[in-house]
Amino acid sequence: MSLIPENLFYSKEHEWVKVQGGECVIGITDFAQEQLTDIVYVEIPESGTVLKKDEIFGVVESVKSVSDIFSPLSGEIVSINQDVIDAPELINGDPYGDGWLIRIVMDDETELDDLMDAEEYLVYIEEGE
Amino acid sequence: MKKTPLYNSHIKAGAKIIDFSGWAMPVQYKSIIKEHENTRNNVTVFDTSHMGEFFITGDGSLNFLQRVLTADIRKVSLNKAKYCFLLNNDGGVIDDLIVFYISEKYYMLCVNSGTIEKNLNWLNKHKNDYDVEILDVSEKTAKIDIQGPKSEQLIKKMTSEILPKRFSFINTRINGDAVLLSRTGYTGEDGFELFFEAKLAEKMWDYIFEFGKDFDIMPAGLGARDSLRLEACYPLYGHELSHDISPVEAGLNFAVDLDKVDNFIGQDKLLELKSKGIKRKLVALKLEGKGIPREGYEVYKNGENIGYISSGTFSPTFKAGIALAYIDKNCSDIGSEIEVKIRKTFHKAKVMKKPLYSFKGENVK
Repeated sequence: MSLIPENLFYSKEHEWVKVQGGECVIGITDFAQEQLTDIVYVEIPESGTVLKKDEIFGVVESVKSVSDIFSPLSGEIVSINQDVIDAPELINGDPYGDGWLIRIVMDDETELDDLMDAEEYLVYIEEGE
Repeated sequence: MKKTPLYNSHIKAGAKIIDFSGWAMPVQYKSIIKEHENTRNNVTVFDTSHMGEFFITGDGSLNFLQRVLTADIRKVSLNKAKYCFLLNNDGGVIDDLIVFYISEKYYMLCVNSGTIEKNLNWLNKHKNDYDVEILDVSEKTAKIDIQGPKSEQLIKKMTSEILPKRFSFINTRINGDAVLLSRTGYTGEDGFELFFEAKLAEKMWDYIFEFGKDFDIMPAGLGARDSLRLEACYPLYGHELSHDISPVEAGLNFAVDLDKVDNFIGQDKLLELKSKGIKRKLVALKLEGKGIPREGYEVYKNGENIGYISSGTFSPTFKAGIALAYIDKNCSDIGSEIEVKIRKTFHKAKVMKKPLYSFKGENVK
């Protein structure tokens, strides 16, 4: 059973968003890391990169597969998690904590309305299985 | 999708199932990395029942196989298993396989799952002049691979017979059932391949795990099978070998007896290719930084495209991206510095000595 914390927003591409004031922390969900298993490589852009909602901004790879990471929101990256680049397995171990990917300043708060809450995300992944 | 007789055992063990050329196969159980490491350190078990098995029998068997296989069967002795190819008239590879010399009039071929039909058509097309019978027993045969440094100890718990040496086999009984037990594998470790009747598969699987507990046994899927074979630089049909690639380019001359007196199909073409010289060559690569090379990625040197990745992965042993690649022969020297284009960026890589991971068992030709 995948962990789905209550206080986060979720995208259909299995990213999570934690709103902290005007900034948002973004990562991939427990469900996503379970599907991927053994994450061995992460590619994310540098701070200052401007992201557009629903566009690919990075890649996570397991031994066998390559998966794109989609930006759940538009905004500018203000910091990235260097630890996760050096030790991608952090995502498997703690997808909502040490395994975070990027922190952004969002352009448009109303984009949050397009994301799911925990309850909706649970239904979404159960329907997909 | 077709299912092997062990499908239910995989589901019970929590396997993640994928479609592998029409077969519902376990890609992993818990973790590819754990299964990979357990094969290197202990022992793992693979279901390879999807692979094909043919019996070749009759007075003309030897002469027939001399014609269609690249190996000189006259140099192979009883109870030996020999890796070789079926070639087309152009010297391209129809399949890579292992021939088991059971007797002068009785052989088994173990072939890839995706090429069973194609091989049968080819063999039947060429059998006319020979007193030979070709029997496809793929459906009736299960195959389990036991691989890893502890596989010998494990097998010794299950049979009291003297075990075969590398590339040899015996016919024995395990738990009372007839098994062709071959000391071969696809992992770069010591190991065994067990061929037996399909209806015994679940019973055999459970029996192996019962004894395996003492040796830290675990099941391993196709994911680990692929990363293990890539570290050992074994080719995979459809990737390193195909109709358009000759064994000379793949660097697999050891599996081709070019001096065979009984002319084999494709021999003249290979001799011609060898004397003319090849343009591309299969090499092993290791990436210097992070990044994982994947099939189809382009390889560059000094800004020029010199070839492509035929198979690539993250190596659990070396903790780096590794690959097999077909590149320009002029750039193929060991130590040669090249670049792999991953998405939009160029990653430094080096041509390495093959195999990347050396066989760790007793090595007897």
